Amino acid sequence: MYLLEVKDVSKKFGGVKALQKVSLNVEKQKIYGLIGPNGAGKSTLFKVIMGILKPDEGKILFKGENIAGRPAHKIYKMGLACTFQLATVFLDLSAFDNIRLGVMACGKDSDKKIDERVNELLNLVGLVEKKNVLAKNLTLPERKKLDLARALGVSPELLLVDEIVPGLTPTEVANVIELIKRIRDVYGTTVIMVEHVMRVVMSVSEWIFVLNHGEKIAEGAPREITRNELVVKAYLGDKTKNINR
Amino acid sequence: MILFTPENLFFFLNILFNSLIVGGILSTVAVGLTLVMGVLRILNLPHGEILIVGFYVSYILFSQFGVDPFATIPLSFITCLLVGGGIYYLMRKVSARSKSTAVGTGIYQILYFMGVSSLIQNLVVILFSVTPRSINPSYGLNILSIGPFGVSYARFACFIFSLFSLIVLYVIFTKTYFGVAVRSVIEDADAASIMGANVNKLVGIVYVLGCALAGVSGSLLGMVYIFNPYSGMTLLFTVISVIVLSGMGSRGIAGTFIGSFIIALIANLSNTFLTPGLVQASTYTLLLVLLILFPKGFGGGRA
Amino acid sequence: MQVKNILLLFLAVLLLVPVFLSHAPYYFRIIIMLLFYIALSQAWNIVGGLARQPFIGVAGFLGFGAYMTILLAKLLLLPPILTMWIGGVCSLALAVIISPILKLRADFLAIGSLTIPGILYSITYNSEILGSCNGIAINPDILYSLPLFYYLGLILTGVLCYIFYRLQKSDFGLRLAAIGCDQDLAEATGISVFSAKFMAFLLTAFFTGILGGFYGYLMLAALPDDVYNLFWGIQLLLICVIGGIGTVYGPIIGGAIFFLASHFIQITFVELHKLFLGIFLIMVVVFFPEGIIGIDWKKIFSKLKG
Repeated sequence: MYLLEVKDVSKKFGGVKALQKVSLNVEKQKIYGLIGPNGAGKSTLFKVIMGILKPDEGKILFKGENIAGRPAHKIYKMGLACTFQLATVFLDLSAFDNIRLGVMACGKDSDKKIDERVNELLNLVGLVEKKNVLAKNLTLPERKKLDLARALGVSPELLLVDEIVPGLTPTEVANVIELIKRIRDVYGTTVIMVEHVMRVVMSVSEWIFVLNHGEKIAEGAPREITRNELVVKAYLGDKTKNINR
Repeated sequence: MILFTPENLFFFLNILFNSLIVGGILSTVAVGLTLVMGVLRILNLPHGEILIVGFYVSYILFSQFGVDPFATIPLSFITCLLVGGGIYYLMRKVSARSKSTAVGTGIYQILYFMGVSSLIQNLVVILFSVTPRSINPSYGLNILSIGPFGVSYARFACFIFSLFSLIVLYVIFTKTYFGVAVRSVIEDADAASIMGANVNKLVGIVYVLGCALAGVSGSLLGMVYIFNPYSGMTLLFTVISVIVLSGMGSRGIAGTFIGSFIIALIANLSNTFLTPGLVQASTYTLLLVLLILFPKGFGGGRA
Repeated sequence: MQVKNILLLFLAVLLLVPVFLSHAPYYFRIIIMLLFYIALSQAWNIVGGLARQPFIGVAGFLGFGAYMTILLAKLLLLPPILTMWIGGVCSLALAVIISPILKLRADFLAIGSLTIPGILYSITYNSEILGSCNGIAINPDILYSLPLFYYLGLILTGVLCYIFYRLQKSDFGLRLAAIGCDQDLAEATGISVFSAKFMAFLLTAFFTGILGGFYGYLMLAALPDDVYNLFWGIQLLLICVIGGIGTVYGPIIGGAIFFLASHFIQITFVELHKLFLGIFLIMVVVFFPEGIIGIDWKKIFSKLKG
């Protein structure tokens, strides 16, 4: 059984067809990439899976259950987490509290166990010394890592990462990529990276989905995707993006 | 069916006609507020107060200097343009703290608006006292006959002026480059800025224009209604009712016009059949009910 | 343990205030009103400061609590000191009825919340039974002693401060703070935002209702122009921001500063009172959003010196 199955999902905004019968299947413990030029529908698909938007048609099966249209907080508790662009964290709360909120979503654990888990996650992302610093006083890369840690609080089986690369130096990017690999290997979490920057996604993903104009135009291993004509055309047609960054 | 006598029918048709006139005037304000909301991403709470400022500017010119009400409109426009500019300038300082380009719906933003509303309201009370006032030009009482209906010249002139503004707005927003740029900002501010639009400048321009438009509407409405310094709030509630009913602008100017008509109709009906005391309660209740039923606007519209 | 001694001394002074002020009812009333403002702000702090939901129409609960307290005292022939708690429950019921309003976005919530006192005001103003513009009054023969109000006020303030303090440290409080930071992110982190807002809302409404009863009792009357005045909401907002929004000491510090400043302004500039408040609010929000705590006192002192 697939971890996540998106079946023929469509979404319209006014007259604009943001998603047209998109289908994809996601297996456990892998890193996936979701790419496509600007306006391809990546964010919309992301929001639909997360429960922020309701699809007009189609089903989204997570661990066999249809989660389309369910409220976002229930989806998180089921084990589907996400990080957002621009490193959304709770700015007025400390790093510790940020992660704690994610962990608390599990529910019943004792305070001691919750604290243990928070410290474990702080360790994972390398923010142990900053645990009492308010999130608004952290640097951008630190906030992105905090965002990851917060999302991991509920020990999700699936993690959607929305454009985590923008704003990071190459070293920091490498750092984050290592982190994501560790998340897959140590926690067994499946990660779907939604990205613009192809090079990064290509180097770490095992399988790629490509969207354009709301439709899935290709999927496959990274090597095949770079050679895929449709994909190349989609990107070269978009003047603001360069395939070989 | 004793109810449907010719007199009663005429009576109701009169109410409908009247609502059409008032609805037209109301829709100008509503469109202004919708535009500002679309571009600012937050409801402009002082909008009602700015409208009242426009009214009082015209009132002073009319009652103290004998200027014809319609001639006061340019000054009312400029005054509210400047007031809007001042509010916007300080607002930028408030929103700069939240580290985002959009003016978010943060609590500081709301506090700021409440402060501005309170300030304007109390300034007006000090300058003009709480006496209810209205602008009544001598020709205002002459009745113009349109078919079987009679409407005062003043009211009719306001209606025509409002329709004119709506048409102008429509043209600006569909045909000019400026209008298209603004619409792109409303749709997606980040995309618009990538395309080269100076988002901050555009937002500022739309904001001050929206305020100026509100001021002009205040001058016009002053010929139709009686205002006191606290009328701004009631007007704001009415206009917001229009916006919510019109789906937060998702149905365009025409949708807002229809929404204004319906709200004006309800207001007229309650004015006619309810005791004066309950009329205000009905304005509030209407808004409350609309907000509870349609937290995201009628039809779940996006701005 | 010097701090402990100072605190005990402070507590002793607090408890003995009535002794000092027994012959100065004017100042005594001022102190009681100060306590009232602090308690009221602390109650609002739960939904407005912690969860940052700008529910400005808090006068609705205040007035409703006041009216119900006095009405029940008259109908059931019970002392207001008892019916005040029922007044709180009535406000709680009102809160439950209008709770759908919490689904609204912040700006619409602010406006929507103002309709509540507006509607209640109109209904009371135009109803003979409820005394219309003269409101309803309590029979002045009842038990009325300033020390009573003082200790009652002290207890209410203390309880509310304690509740807020514990709330802030609790898991529920953390969730509210998260909602206050970023509602959508909170929802995506497994927090059921509406339920949390609802609970906070009920808490605020309940205590505001009780305090409404307290106010009505203290004033021996509830007048629509007073208790349903939209200005209450703005005052509480300002107090919380001055003192530091969402903190337990915020209402205390803010309450003290605001109340005393407001009193002073009211005496010296009677007409300009509300105007100053508007200006003050704008200045605070634009220049000192973190309140008085956020001001970098060290910087200012060094600038003054050097």
